[in-house]
Amino acid sequence: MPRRSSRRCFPQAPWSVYSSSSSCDLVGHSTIILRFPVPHESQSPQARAGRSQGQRPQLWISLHCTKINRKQQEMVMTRGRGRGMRGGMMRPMGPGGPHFGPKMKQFVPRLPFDMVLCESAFPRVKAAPDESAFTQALLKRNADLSPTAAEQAAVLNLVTKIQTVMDNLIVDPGTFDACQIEEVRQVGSYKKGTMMTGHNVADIVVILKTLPTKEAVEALGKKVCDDLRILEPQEVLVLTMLPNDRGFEISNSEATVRVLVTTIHQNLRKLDPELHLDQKILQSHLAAIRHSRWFEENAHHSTIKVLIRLLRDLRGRFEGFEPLSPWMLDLLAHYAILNNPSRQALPINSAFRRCLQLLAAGTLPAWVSRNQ
Amino acid sequence: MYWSGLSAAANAAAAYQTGQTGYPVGHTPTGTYTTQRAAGSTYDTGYQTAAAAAATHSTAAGTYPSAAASATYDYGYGRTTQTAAAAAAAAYDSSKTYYAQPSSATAYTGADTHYHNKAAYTSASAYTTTSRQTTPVVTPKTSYTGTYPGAAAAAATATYNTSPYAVQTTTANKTALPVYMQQTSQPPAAAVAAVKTAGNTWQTFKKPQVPGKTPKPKAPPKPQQLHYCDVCKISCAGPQTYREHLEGQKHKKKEAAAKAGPTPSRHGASLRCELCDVTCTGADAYAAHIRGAKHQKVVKLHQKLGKPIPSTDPVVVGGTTKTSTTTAGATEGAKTTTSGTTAALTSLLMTTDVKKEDLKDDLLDLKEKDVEPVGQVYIEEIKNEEGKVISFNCKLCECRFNDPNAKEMHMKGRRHRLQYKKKVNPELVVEVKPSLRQRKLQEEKLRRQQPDLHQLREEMWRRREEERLLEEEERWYWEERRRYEEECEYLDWCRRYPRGPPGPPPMMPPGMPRPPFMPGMPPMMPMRRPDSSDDRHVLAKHAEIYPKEEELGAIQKIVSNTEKALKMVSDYLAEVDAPKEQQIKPKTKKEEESKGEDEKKDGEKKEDGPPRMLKGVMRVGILAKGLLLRGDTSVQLVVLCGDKPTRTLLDRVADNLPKQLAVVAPEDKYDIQRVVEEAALVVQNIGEQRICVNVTLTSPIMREQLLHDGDSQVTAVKDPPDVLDKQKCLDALAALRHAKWFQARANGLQSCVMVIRILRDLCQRLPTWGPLNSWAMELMCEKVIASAGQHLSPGDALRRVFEALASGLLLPGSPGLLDPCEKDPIDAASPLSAQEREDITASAQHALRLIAFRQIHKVLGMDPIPPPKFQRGGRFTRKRRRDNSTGEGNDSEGGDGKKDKKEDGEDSKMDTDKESK
Repeated sequence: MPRRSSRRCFPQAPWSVYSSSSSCDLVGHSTIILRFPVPHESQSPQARAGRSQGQRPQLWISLHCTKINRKQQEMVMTRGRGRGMRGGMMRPMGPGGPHFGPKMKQFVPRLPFDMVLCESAFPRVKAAPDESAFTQALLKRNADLSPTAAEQAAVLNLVTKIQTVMDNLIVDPGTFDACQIEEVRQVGSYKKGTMMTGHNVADIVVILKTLPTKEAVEALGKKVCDDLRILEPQEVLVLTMLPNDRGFEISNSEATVRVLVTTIHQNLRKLDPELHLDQKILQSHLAAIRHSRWFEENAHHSTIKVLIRLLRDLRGRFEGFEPLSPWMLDLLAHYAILNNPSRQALPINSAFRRCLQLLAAGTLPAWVSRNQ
Repeated sequence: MYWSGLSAAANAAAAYQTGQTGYPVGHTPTGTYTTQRAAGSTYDTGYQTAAAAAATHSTAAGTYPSAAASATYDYGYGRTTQTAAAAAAAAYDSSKTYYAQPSSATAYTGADTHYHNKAAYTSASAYTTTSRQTTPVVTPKTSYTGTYPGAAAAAATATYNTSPYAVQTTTANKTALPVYMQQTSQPPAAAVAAVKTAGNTWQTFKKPQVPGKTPKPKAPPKPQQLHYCDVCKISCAGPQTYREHLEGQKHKKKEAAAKAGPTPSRHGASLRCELCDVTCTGADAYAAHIRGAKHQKVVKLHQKLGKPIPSTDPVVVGGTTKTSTTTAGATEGAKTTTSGTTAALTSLLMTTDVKKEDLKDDLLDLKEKDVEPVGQVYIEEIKNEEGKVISFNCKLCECRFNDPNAKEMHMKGRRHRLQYKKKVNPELVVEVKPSLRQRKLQEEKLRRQQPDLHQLREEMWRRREEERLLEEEERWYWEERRRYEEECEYLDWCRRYPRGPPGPPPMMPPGMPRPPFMPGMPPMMPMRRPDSSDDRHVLAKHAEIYPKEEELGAIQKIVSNTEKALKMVSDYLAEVDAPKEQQIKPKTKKEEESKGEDEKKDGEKKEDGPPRMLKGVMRVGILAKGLLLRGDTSVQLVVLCGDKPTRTLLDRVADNLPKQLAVVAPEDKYDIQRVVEEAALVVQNIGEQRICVNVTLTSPIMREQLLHDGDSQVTAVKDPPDVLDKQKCLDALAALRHAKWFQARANGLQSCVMVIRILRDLCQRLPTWGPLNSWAMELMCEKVIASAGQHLSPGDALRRVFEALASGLLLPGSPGLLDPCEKDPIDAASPLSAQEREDITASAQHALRLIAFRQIHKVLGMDPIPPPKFQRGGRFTRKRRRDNSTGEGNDSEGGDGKKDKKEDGEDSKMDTDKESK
């Protein structure tokens, strides 16, 4: 069956990109979203049960959050299930084996043209050019972009302190009653090891048990800041705390820690836009946690980290790449390096080129025209 | 607004509806619960009022309105139904499931047989039942049923046991009774209610008999000279001012308020300063009042007057249940208000020990049991210019206070805590709800005690119900949502399976909007993906560029005529040459599939003998590949010669061909030119449609030489001097191979030929694409489409080709297009210069973006096709509108000057964006 063979051909098709923009204008790039069937979530029986109870499962990660309809969710979900059959991401199947109800549709992604995957169809006319210089250049660039040991130490220092303070708050809130912390997690480039030099910002997500009102966030920021000052009196002068719509930032002279506030899932539907932080933002913070978990499990290959750094550099220097979010870059890098017929990590030069080829081949809007 | 559907019973009550308007409806945001609650509270109110009135022995008319008012009060909630009772019943009907089934039904069963609805009654709220339960126990109801059976609610007489009470209790009863439908079928509902009333009324009147409750008769005569106003509790300086005061609005208002009865407090139990007639919501507020100047003033005044000063102990007032104010309304009686008040007070305070305990409980309740203040963060301090805190604003509850004490109290308050729970911490425990066992104990107690404890019950009730209200609201929301989704699902399902339950999933019915990434098939049964918009555009474009029948016919005609003529030329040449070569006719080979006339002759030919000069004619190029487009007027034939074609041969063919053509098609006129440098003849028909057939002479020997010897120069030397251009001959041979390859590979590939036709059109329209030779293009398309590994719809296939080009397939450094028809590895696209490759790539990227964003019509150079009629929902029209409106001026990266050389005319569609920049 051709469709099956196609899946064999693209053994791991873990991602696809949809543009949320229903319009077809070319500037619609900014609303491109990447969806990825998230392990642990998409397939859990709870998720399925939850759907039947009228709650929509959180099956996907959306970066630029947009509305997606049921069908799309289903697609993503069932695709995940289809993949589950092949191993790799094995998880319990629903009852009924491969035959699903009318809703369970097979999702067959149509990937855009990808030279790496079709290499056999394009035998080389002449030998591949020597790219060692290119590789060297990429590696050098990566070395330039990597943070120095001092920078890393500074960030690590601040993160550790804040984490300590937060942990203390969880264990013993004392008189602090503006909010209750459920969990504190490190996310983002700091966690993933893809930090860039000159950008000493680490991200921490704080999951609140209570609802995240702006006041609570501010109070938490103050509290953390105060505790830090107690903990480290000599830093009093340089420590600053800036609340924003995502949480707050605590910085000293060398590093910044962005504390992103969110709340537990159950609370999300109780939010009131007037009082609390934006729900979208809160969801994105929860997503960030999933992302870093996924990254830990799937994308720890060091070539991927190098590639991510290079791509982030590109993104910073070229306006056109601006809409690519870090999560998209992570996925792109992961795909470019690991998703090839041999299942061996591609060398950095090929992978870097492949990223650009994929983008040029319309990986991002691959599904747009079908979405009407 | 309340009085929408009144019937007999309601009409009876209508008499009392005056003074009712001011009734706070605040209790009742929505929902049946509130109705119930209101009804219940009314019941209690009325009850209490009656009790109080009885306690004072005051039969003054002034009391009744208040009772009646409270009775009518609940009518307001029975908005929709015919009788108040029915209304209440309706209200209960929906809510009753949430309540535990009380057991008090039996008490009533025997008592009033008129009621069909005992069961319904039983199913009323647990709370209501609680309150009801007390009554039947005490009341020998039957004794009164006889007495007042006819006491219709409307019959308001002045007697002790008449309607004010009757009505009041009636309504109370009715509210508590979930009457269902039977109630309406009852003959005079009101009468029946009155029967019921009797019991309650009786009970109400029991109270006065309690000796302890007898009001104090000592009422010191009013010191008139002081001009003291009882209602307002103020003294006036002189008779003049006193009169003015009495006529003043303030006084009137107070009087009216007093007559109308107590304003039920919204906040559960409250504390009351009897002296000043001020109700406080909490212990702190009460304390503040006692300390306050106003209270002190009144105290002083009363001291001066020698009036009794009630203790500063607060009177606990349960919500709407207000006893003393009622009596205050009865000022016109012989007794003074103060005495009345005191009486009420004493009656309240001087009861049994149990009661005192309860009172204490209540007070405890009011003190909020030292709850932790929460949400300090949300109380905003409002400062004046000097930075002094002048007031506080609670952002959660949206209220303000000026007093820091009030702020403290607010933070402990229930309302605030509820808000806090709702908005900040969902886990905050707001309720100091007694446990189930406690509750039962309390109910037990209540049953043992007498109606004085209504407040307690009511408060508890209210608390529970308020909390439930919150929960309910949420639950309803989810319930509603679930129902909605279920409905959606059902509809969806219906649409999917119009003819009934599952079975094999049928094809998508046309009415259903196609799901976005419609793979559409369950794994086991592949279903055709419905055409996307891209597909429709590609198909339409293809239909547009595909040659018309007459065009095809004309080409077919000239080609077959030429072929026949060439065959005859071949025969002729063979004959001419034959005398020298023993008259042996070589065989003619015709590979081409066209008209088999030649084959008849073939049969006569002998197999052996020297080869003919012209061995055969074959179609190549677009003709052989079926890539003819509309407007194509030039096709190619290749004549294979036995030996290397020479100019002499060309001349001989060209000389003979017109004669043969005249034989083949006497009615047509053909013009024949020889193009020696192309190694070809051009046959053109003379008519309105000029079609030219290029006939190229070539010979396989030319290539064999090349391949075998490796040194073409050497062999070329041996050739006759007038051999035709070698490269042209080789090209013709390559064209032959390409045609064969095409028929073997591309023809069988789905969508491939269509895409190649489309691209041919594109190459013709867009100068950028002009340099891309057709062979490279065909090769590329085939590889790209074949490498997809699955069937592609025309739209997808076209897109994939653009994707491949966009990702740099042609750019230097790519693997290149290995030509399968050549021995050496050759890039089929090698003729392209680096600049041309770059231009094509950029153009492909632009085209890809256009396709991706649904402007494929611009790529194809056509008008957009509206979506099929049946799909036109709001969704589609909206999208299409956007399509058009965003058609131009939004390309930020597509046309960075690379397509500048393109002319603006025919390819303007694709370049719209760039131009409008």
